Amino acid sequence: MNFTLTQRLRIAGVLIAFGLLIEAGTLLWNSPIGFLVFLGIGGLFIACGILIYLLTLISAPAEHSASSVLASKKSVVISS
Amino acid sequence: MPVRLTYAVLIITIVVIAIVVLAPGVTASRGGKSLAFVALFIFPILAVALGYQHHMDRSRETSFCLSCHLMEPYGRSLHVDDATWIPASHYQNNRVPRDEACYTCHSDYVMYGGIKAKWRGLHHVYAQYMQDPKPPLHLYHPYNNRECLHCHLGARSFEEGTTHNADSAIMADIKSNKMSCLTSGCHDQVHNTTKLTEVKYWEER
Repeated sequence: MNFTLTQRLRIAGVLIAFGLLIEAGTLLWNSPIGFLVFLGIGGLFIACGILIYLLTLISAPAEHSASSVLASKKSVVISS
Repeated sequence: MPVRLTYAVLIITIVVIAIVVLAPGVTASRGGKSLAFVALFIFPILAVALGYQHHMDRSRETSFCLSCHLMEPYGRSLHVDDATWIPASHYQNNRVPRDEACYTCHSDYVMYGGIKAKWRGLHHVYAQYMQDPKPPLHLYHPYNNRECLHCHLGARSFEEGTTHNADSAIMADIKSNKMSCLTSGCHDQVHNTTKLTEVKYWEER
C-alpha cells in the first residue's frame, strides 16, 4: 500500500496518541497488570507510531526528489 | 515524580499530536517540521519515560504487591498482634516504611538489587498467570542476612544482643550469612500464612 507523506504522519500520530491514552489509563491502575498493559500495549503503539514517523522522515526526501524529477520531466514534455 | 507532571506531559503531547494530525499542512514549513518532530518523537519518549518512572515508583508500594490475590495472606500477616512475628513487628513499629514494607525487606541490598527485585516481580506475574502457584509460597533463594544487616548492623540491639554475643563465633557466622537470622531457630516467625487463623490481630488506630 502506498501512503502519502501526510497519511503516514497521520497514522503515526494516531498510533502514538492511542498509546499515550492507554498510558494515561494505566497510571490510574495500581496493579502489575497495569504495568504490563502500559509496556506491552501502550508501549507497542507508541513504538510503532515513532517507527512509522522515523521511516517517513527517511523516505520523505527520496519521494520528494522523485516527484520533483517527474514534475520537471512533465514540464520538459509540455514545453517541447 | 509527581503524577500530575506525567499527566501534564501526556496532555500536551496529545494536543500537539492533534495539531499535526488535523492540520498536516503546518509541517510544510521548517517550524512545522520541528513541531512534528517534537510531537511525534521527543514528547512521546518523554511521556513514556515519565510513565515508566511512575510505574517503577509505584511498584515499590505495599498496596501494589498486595493487589495480587495470592499475596492477601502475606498482607494480613503484617497485622498479627505478636512481636515475635518479624514482618508484623517491623511493619507495626515503623522499622520499615509501611507503604513500602514488602520492597524494603524483599529487595537485595546489592548493586542493581532494585532492578533484580523488579525483574522478580515480573516473574511473579508470569507465575501467577501461567503456573498457578499455591500457597504457601517459597522464596527463590534462601533469605540472605545481608538484607537484615542493611539496617541492623551497628545497631545497639543487634551488636550488644545477649544471644548474638553468647559465643564469639555466632556474631561472625551471622555477619557472614553462615547462620541464618530466620531459619536457625532464632527469628523464625515470619509470614506463617498457615497459622493466620490462630492469631490475634492488631487494629490500627
